[in-house]
Amino acid sequence: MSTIDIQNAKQIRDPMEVYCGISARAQNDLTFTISSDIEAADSNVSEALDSELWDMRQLTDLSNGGFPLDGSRQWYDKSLAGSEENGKIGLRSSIGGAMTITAKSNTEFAAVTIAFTRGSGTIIANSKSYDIRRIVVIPVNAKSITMVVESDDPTDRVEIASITPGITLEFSNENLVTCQMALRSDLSMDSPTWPVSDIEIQAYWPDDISEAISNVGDDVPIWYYAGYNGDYSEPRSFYLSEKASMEDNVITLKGEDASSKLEDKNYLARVLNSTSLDGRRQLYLRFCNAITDAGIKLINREAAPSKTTGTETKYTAVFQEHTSRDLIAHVMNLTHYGSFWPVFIDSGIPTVRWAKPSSKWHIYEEDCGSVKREAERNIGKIKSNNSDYGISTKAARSNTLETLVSKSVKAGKMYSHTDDDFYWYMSVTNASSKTANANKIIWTAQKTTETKKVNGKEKKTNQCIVKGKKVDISTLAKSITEDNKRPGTTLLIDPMVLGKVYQGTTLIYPRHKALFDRSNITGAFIWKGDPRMMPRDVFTFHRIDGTEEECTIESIILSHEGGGTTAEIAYRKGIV
Amino acid sequence: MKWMTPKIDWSPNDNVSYEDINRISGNINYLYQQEILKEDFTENDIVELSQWKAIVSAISELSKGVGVSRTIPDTDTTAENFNDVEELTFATKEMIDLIFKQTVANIYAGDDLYISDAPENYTRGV
Repeated sequence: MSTIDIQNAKQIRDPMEVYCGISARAQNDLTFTISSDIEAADSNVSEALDSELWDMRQLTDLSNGGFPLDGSRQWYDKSLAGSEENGKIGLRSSIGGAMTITAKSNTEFAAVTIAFTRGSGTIIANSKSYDIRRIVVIPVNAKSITMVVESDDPTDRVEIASITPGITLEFSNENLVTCQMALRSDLSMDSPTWPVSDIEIQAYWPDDISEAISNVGDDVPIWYYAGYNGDYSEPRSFYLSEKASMEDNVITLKGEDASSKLEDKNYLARVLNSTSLDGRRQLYLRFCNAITDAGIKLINREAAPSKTTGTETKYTAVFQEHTSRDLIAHVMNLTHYGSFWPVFIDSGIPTVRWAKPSSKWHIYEEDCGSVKREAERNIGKIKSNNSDYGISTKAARSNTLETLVSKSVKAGKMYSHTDDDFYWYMSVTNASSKTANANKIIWTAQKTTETKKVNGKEKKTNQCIVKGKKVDISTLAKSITEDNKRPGTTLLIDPMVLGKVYQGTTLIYPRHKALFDRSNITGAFIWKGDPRMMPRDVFTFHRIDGTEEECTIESIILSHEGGGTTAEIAYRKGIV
Repeated sequence: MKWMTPKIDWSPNDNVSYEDINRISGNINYLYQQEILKEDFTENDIVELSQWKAIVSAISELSKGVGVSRTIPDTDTTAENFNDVEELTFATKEMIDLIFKQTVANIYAGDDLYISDAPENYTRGV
C-alpha cells in the first residue's frame, strides 16, 4: 500500500515532505579556472561543472575513516572524463582546504548557482561572504567572477557538484513558508474558457539575491512534488508568470501551467475527414494535434483508439480557426459518449486521454469540513450564437474544382489567399513552397506575370491561379431543446466545429445531449489534500447519510503551510 | 621498511583507511626491499586507479617470479579483491622466506665448519 494512502487513512497524518523550486538557468557558456587546494577534479572540468544532471562518482576517498568495500566506490581515474555515462568528480578540495574558482563567459550573466554535495564553510565573492549550503546563489552581473571556497572543518573536504549560470533554487520543508496551487479544469460550457492552474511559492532564502531574482525572465520552469520518502506525487511543472521578488529574506514565485499557451496562437481552419470506422480515432488525433500545435509537450498521452471493422461511411467536419483553448474546451464538452471521453488536463502534468474515467479516490464526508452543495439551473435549450451556422450543421464535400482567384505575381515573392468558404482541396499554379489549410493557401511565385497583346487584346501569362473543391456547410438546426422539454436556461454556443463525426452509426460529435445530461449539482468541501489528485479525477463521495455519489473534481486549491497540508475541492456530481 | 601482518578477513562492511593502504604498499615495498610504491597515504588522499594498478602489478610480478600462484585482483573495490591482494602478499612473503631458508641451509650444509649450525630441516635429511 502506498505511504501516502497509509498516511491519508490516519486521523492525523505525518507532515508531508514538499519539494519545489525554480530553474532559471541562463544560456551563457561558462569556462572555469581553478587553483589552490584541489584534491580531485574532472579533466573536462568546465563541461562537468556545467552539467548539473550528471551523477557524482563515489571515489576511494580516505577521509572520514576511509571507503567501504561493498563495490560502490571507484578508483580516482584522472584520464576518465566526466560524462552522463561515467558520472563526474566535480571539484573536491583537500581536507580543510580552500579552492579558488574563476567563472568566465563572453557575455554578462546575472548570477551563478553552486550545488554542494559535501562540506561546510564559506564562499567569498565580490567582497561578500556566503555560507555553504546545498544550493548557493551568487549574484554576478558581470562577465566573470572569482570565488574562494573555504572549508571551516579541518577534518573534512568541500565537494562541488556543479556551477551553472543563472539561478536554480530548491526549497523544502526546511525553508518553505507556503506553497499553494490552484489546479483547475473548466467543466462549464457557458463561456468556454480554460482557467489556467497556478502556483505561488514563498520561501526563506538567507542571502540577498533580490536584484538577481527580479531579473529572471518569464516562462522559467517552476517545479513541485510532495509526499513521503519513497512515495512522491508525479512532479508538476509551472512557468514563471510574474516578476519574482524577494523581501525580508522571503522569495515569492508565481507561475502558471503550460495551458496558458493554448491562447497564444490560433489553430488554423482544418478539414477532418473520417469514416464510421475511425471517427473516434480521427477526432482524438485532431484533438491531440490542437494541443501540441500550441506548443504543449504532453507528459501522459493515451494511445488513439483503433479503427473498427464494418460498413464504412464517410464524413467530413471542419475545425474553424479559433484558439486551441476554445477548440479543446468545446470538443471536451460536446464529445463525451459511451467509453469515448476525450479529456485534456494540465495542472502541471499535461495529460490527454480518451477512455471514460472511473472512480479513483474515496473521500468520506466525515473527514471534510465546510461541506457545501448547490444546484445550478438546468440547461433547457442550446442555441447557436453564430448567424452563419446553426447549432447543428452538415458538411459535404463537393467535387467541383472552382477557380477562386487569379493573381499577378513577381517571381520569388510570397502570396496568400484567404477565403470565406471552406475547402477540402486547394491548389495554386506557378507556385512552390505551398501550404494550405481549410480556407487559406500560402505560396511563393515561381515566374513573374507578363502582359502580352494577343489579337489586340491584353493577355496575362504566368499568373497564380488558386482553385479549390469546397466543403458545403448547411445548417440543420439553429437550436436544440432538451428531450423532455424541461425548463431551464438557454445556453449560447459558438459552433466551432462544423459537420459531424460518427463512430459506427452513433453520432459522437457534436453531442449536445452530453450537456443536457450533465448534472446541475455542484459542491465544495475542505479536506486534508492529496498531491496526486488532478482536476477531472472521479471520486466516490461517501456521504454521512450512508449514500455514495460518483463526482468529478472541478478544481483543487492545495496548500502547504506550517508543516500542514489542506485542500479546497470543488466538484460536480457524476462523471463529466 | 617494516613488515606488518596482512589483513585477510576483509568484509563488505569494512572500511579501508589510509593505514590499510600504507600497510599493503609497505609490505610490497618490504618484499622488494625498496620503496617502489607510495606508502605515505593520509586521510587527505583519494586513491588513484594508477596507484591501485601499481600495487597489483608489483605483487603479481613478484609472486610469479617466486612461483606463487594465486588469484590476481581486478579493479573492483570489493572485500574479495582486498583479501586477494593481501593473501597474495602473504603467500609471496612465505615463499621468499622459504627460499631464503633453503638458500641459507645449502650454504651451511656445504661448509664443515658450520655443520653443527645447519638448519634443523637439513640435519634431518629433509
